[in-house]
Amino acid sequence: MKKALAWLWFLLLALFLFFGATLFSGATPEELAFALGLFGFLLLANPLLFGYSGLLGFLAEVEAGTAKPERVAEATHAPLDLVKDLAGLALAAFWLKELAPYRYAYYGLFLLLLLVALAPQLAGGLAFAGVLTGVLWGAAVPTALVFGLELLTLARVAALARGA
Amino acid sequence: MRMKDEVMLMRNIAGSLIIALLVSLLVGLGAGVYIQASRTRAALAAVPPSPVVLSATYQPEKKQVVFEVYNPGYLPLLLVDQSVVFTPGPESKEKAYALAAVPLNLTLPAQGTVRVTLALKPESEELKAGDVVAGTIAYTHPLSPDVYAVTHLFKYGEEEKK
Repeated sequence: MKKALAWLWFLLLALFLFFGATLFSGATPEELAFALGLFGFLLLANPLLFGYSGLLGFLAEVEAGTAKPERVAEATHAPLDLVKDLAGLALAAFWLKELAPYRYAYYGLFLLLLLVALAPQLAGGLAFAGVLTGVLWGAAVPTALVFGLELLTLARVAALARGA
Repeated sequence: MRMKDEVMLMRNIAGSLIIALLVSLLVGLGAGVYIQASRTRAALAAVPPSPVVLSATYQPEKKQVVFEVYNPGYLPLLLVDQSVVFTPGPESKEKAYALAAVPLNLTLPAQGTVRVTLALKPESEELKAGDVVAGTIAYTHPLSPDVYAVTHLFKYGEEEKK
């Protein structure tokens, strides 16, 4: 059973590599720039994507009444004694506060990229401006994900606060 | 509670979902248009262009016809040489003549325009209305060793008036 699973993983990886190489060899420089921006900013957005989705799951648990403070203690690296008696809303606020520095760093870097990519075009066009625009479009994809998750999380927290 | 004050600024769940959907649609549209444009440009760069003669003007004092040649493609062209075939109209006393393969060696950049000067026979008379000058420009492109040609018919007295 384990051997079959290992072979399946190997097959999947080989397929992935094959199609990846095919896409890579046929890609235009602009598409490669897009992929660079996409995966680079996806790595940057990782703590936020997992943080907000974890918080959304926690909020659903709070509404169901099955929330465990251990989850928040683990996610925010806070001592369990500090958080174990807090209400669900306070725990959510605690978690949101933990994500705030990542959020500022992420949006700050995206803004920096936006400026670097758009400034040459405003100034009259450099040779590599088109490729930088590709990096910007790639970075816009994880940014839209982060923005949507953040908006939804804040709305869920707000709904919880209204109910509380 | 302080949380409540902050909550006043926030939207409801359905509203935030709709906003996130709109933002994602815009990002997807922009990225898709950008990538498709890059592919289109790459595909067009693989197609050899054919030059277009935009205008022809006769300069009587220098006895020459000037063609404005435009390259609509994404590859540079090399204009190798030019030929002129003169056909007299009813008012002209000049005899028909041809000047073949006058070297040019002009590079016509992608999406660019150059002016090509066709010198007429030096001892010939001035052009009269109805005279026809057929200018042929031979060119090559980087994808093939072949030589191609474009011929423009310039009928004096018709193009000048417009």
